[in-house]
Amino acid sequence: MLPHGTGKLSALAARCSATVLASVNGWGVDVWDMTPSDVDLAVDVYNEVLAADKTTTDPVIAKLGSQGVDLLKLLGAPGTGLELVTRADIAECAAAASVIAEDGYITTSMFMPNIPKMARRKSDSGIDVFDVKLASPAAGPDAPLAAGERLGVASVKHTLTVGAAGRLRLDIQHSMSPKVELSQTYLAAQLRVVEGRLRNGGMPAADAGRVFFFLPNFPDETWVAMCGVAVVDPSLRADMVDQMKNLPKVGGGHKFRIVTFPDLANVHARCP
Amino acid sequence: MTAPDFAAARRELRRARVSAALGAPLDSSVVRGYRDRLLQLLARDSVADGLLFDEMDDDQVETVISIAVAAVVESGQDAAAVLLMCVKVLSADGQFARMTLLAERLAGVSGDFTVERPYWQLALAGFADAIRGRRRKALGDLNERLGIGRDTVPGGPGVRTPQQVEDVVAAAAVRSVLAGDDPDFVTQVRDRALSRGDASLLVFADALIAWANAVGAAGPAKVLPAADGVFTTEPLAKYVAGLRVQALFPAQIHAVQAGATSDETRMVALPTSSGKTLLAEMRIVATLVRHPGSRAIYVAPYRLLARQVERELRPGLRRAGFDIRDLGSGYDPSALPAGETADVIVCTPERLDALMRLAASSATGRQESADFLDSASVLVFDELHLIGRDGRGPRFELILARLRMRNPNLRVLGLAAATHGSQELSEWLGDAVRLPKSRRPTGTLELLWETGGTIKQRTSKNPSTVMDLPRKTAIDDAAALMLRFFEDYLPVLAICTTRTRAESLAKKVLTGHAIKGRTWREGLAEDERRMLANAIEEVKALMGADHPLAQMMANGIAFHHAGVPTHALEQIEYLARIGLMRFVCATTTVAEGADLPFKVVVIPHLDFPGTGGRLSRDLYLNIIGRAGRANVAVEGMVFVLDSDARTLQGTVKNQLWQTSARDVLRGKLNNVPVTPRTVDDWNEFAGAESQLLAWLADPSSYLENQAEELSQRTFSYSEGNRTEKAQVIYLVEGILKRLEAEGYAIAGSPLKVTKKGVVAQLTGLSLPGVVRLNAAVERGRDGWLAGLSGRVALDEEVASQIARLVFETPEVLQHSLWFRRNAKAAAALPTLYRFAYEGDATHVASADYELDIQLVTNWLMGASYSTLAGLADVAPSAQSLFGGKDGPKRVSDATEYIGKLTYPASWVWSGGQIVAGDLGESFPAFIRSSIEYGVPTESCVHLIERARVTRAAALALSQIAGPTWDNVATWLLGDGHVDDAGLDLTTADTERLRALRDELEAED
Repeated sequence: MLPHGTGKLSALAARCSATVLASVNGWGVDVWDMTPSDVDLAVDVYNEVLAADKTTTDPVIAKLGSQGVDLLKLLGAPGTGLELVTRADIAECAAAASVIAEDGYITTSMFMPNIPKMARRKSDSGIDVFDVKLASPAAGPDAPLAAGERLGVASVKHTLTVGAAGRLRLDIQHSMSPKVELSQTYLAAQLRVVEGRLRNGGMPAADAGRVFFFLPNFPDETWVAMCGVAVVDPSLRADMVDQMKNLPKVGGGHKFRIVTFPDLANVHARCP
Repeated sequence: MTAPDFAAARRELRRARVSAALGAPLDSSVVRGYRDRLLQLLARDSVADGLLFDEMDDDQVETVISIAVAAVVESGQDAAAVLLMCVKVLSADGQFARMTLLAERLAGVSGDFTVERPYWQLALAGFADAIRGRRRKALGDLNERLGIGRDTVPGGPGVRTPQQVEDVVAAAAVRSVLAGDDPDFVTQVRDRALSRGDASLLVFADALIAWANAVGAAGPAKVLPAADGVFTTEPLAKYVAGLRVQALFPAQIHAVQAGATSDETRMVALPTSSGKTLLAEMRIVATLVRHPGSRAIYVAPYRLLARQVERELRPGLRRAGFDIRDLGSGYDPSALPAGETADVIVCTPERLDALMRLAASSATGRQESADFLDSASVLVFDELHLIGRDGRGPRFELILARLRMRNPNLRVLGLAAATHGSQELSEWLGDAVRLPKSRRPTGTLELLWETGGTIKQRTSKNPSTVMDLPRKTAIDDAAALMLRFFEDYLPVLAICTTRTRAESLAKKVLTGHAIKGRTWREGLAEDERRMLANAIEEVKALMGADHPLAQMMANGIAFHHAGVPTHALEQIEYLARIGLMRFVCATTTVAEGADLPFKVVVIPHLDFPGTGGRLSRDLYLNIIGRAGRANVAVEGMVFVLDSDARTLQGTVKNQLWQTSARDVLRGKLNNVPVTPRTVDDWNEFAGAESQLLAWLADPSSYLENQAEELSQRTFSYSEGNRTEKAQVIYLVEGILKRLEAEGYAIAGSPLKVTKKGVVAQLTGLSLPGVVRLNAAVERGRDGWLAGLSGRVALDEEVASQIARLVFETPEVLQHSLWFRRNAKAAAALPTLYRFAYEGDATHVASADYELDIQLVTNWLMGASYSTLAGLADVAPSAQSLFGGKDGPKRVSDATEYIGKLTYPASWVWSGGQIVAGDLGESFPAFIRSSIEYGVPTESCVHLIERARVTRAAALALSQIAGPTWDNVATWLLGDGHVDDAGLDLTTADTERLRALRDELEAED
């Protein structure tokens, strides 16, 4: 779950209305054309998500100082480095709203490991939204997954570059492919976070541990729903839609969503 | 949902590891597929809470290891995550040895982040160092790189991103755990990772917390005081704080918690490489602190092991304020040095036997020995499972039975390999506490190369196929197999059935390794090259400049067997220990207890001598314990080459790989025949007879029903069935009657030793041996023996007389050239009987016997092995002793011949001193050691014993300086110069002599 901003995110999700475009090679393709008002709300979501981080004194960071670890000395001042990832984060917020609206992700339980974007470099794999539905109490710690239990996985990427739609489509494909970027190891580590959060949320350890049952044969379409989200400037919409015919064959259960985001190029300027 | 076949994945990953070891790695994506199949199990195990040492089942452990060591090409981040999850799971089970080796991988992975994420690299490397026990280094690096107490910081990323901040947090968490300055910090870091959804940091923090908890729970400072209050006392608190391990293995913890350090008798059976010596050290210091002024005895059944134990125990004992002394290995009835007895002595069972006999005698030194034994508060008996072996087993149980009757309050700590019937040993010793079964700190992959060419691995069910490799002959195949091993799997040990096969295999390996060997040598660091060169120089000095062993060693190859002089064996072991041996082809000399860093063991043949002509399960278990010991490899590999010989078929699958609940240990005393049928039988019977005579000399034997009383205290009786009990009593009664009939004991109430018996028991020799020795001494009493007093050197005449004297006993004669050539097979025992009991002297006039005398005489006078080989005639059969003209083979023959003679011969010489009575007390003390070392002067003996110089160096220096120790000391301190070119010393000898000179100067 997001530590902050869930209310605003739900509000954004409520405004989302994706249009189904086609079904291609086992992918369900749809598109959400955001309005400028949607963008305003997305900016609010972003600011709220980060606001608390900026106002709360983090006990770990505070302790670094008392241990003699000076972040300023080690890393320089905040903001002097590669923090221009705002666009990516805000794109993820928009995509998250869309999966809440269209794919049944739960605002209060879904998990966004890359907000704020930090964990992985651009070249690495990285799933942006996880959503788990597990029965609790389960029939037993080793009870196989049953109807209604599900793992949602969404990968979000954006581009502003004209002519880059093909590349964006391919990047999203790769980020969702166990054979390319979405390694079992990466997934196992992320599911440990999910497991920890389920337990923190009160789920018994035996039930929460069943989250790792999603790992075998990943992504088993019976239990796993994959969604790729391409966030683009509206000017790239046609190119992006045209790219959908190149999606590879999958067994089913995959979605590809195009989100057109007005003035994506300048949105970072509206975020502190 | 179809459940993944985890067993199949583990099996395939084992197969992948073996294939990779043999230079045929499977495709990374294939390995990754199997590895990923198991990730579900790892991930789930990695979120389990708490510490439950040694509770994981074998499949769980194998799952973790299979994942951790799988050869998969993946990102550094994924590799780190996998390793960290493995560390988390292994921590919970207390698998510190395995973790140490995974930490090496973690350190390697950390390098991937050096440029882009330097603080993540720092965190991973610091954690890896901590796991490996390099706490101080880790803390130093972390403090420096995190800039604690410094104005400038080296090596930062130059940019500040949220990711870099989290990396600093991770590094700070490691630092905090190691510094112990904020116990809550790492938990807060974990919470932060969870709340921010930082999976990498969460996995890292979880592993760090689990490891810190495990080390805290298993740390000596936690375990020892909780189990035994003596460790909270002032003298030992400091000792505990300074222990060289940061965590005890679960097996050690179980043992400590079960009272291994208490004042009770305990039997501790630990898996191979589980740290028995440290456990013994802790027991000894606890006992000596509890009983000030008392002493401890550590019995190690092998000379190599005794030396190793003394070396390992010394630092810890010194920190606790105690000293230790190795009393030597052979039977030596000489007195303990007055006033110099250490707090702890290390000795072989035979040396302990001699002390007990001396204590029960009226000879010089009796009181010191008795006082020493009376002051012993604990006896540690290592490798106690050997009590179930033919040969020395019956002697061990009788020595222990005698000692426990003599010192009824002496507590025993028995140490044994876990696979060898510890329950029977516990029952015998009277230890009611049963330790839980513990896992080996590292694992073993057992493989069988079938004659049809299929390599199969042992699994819990049916053996599964790894790969096919065509077979030819055992030696060729073994050489080819050894040469296939990838660098990471070296060094490889081959255990051969005979020394001929060991040498032959080493030659073949050399042939195939010439180019790689040169490349390896050229790649060595300067100091490594120097150490290798020094060792080779020593071997050349011992065995001749052209000996093939020297050439082999230059390529990282050696053979190791009884035909190699002890000093050269020590050089080979030393090189193996420091990683400068790649292939060692040995006989079973290396199989017992040696702690050398082999990763792979190859067994080319199954037709081992003794035990029915094939490899016994007992020996097999010892052999596989040599592969992959703690801190060497996560797992070892053992390859057995199958044989289709009729007598060997099915040996591996039906016997060696038999899975039984446990191995039952049986004593062998009941098998000692009253009517021997072979020479080995006779040796066992004569040994038992001597043991009983020694017991009768001790007041603890003054009991009614002596036969039953002693029998009941033996292992064979205690753990035997009704028939076996009866056999033990029958044997003991029979021997007691013989002793009485032959005048060694006299009937009364109870049976006691006569004057003749008192002398005979002190020699420790067989009774007919004493009779013949006595006659020989009487013949020389007024002649050459009377002239020994005051001698500091032997001349050829005296050396010849000594040779003739020692050959007067069956103990020595059975190893003579004459006996080996003229009393074969069925004729052996009758020949020995005629010699031992009928005074037969037909050998005396024979050329073979004269050659024996000549060889031993020359040995005593300092002749080299190659000179001895040159003196011997050429036996008709090329395979026999001194058969053929091959120079190196004859040198090995000479070494083996002398090696078999010197131990019993020096024992017999000591016996001669005893039977000579007052005259014996005038014999120069150095002669016993002269026989053992093959040197003719007092100065040589002192040089070898004090400075550990080679025989050649001792001879050279003695020749220049003179025959007395005083001569040598004077020369070293002033008259001569160690670097004198005329000495022609090896580099190592020169260094040893310089050290001795410095020592003497300090004493001066």
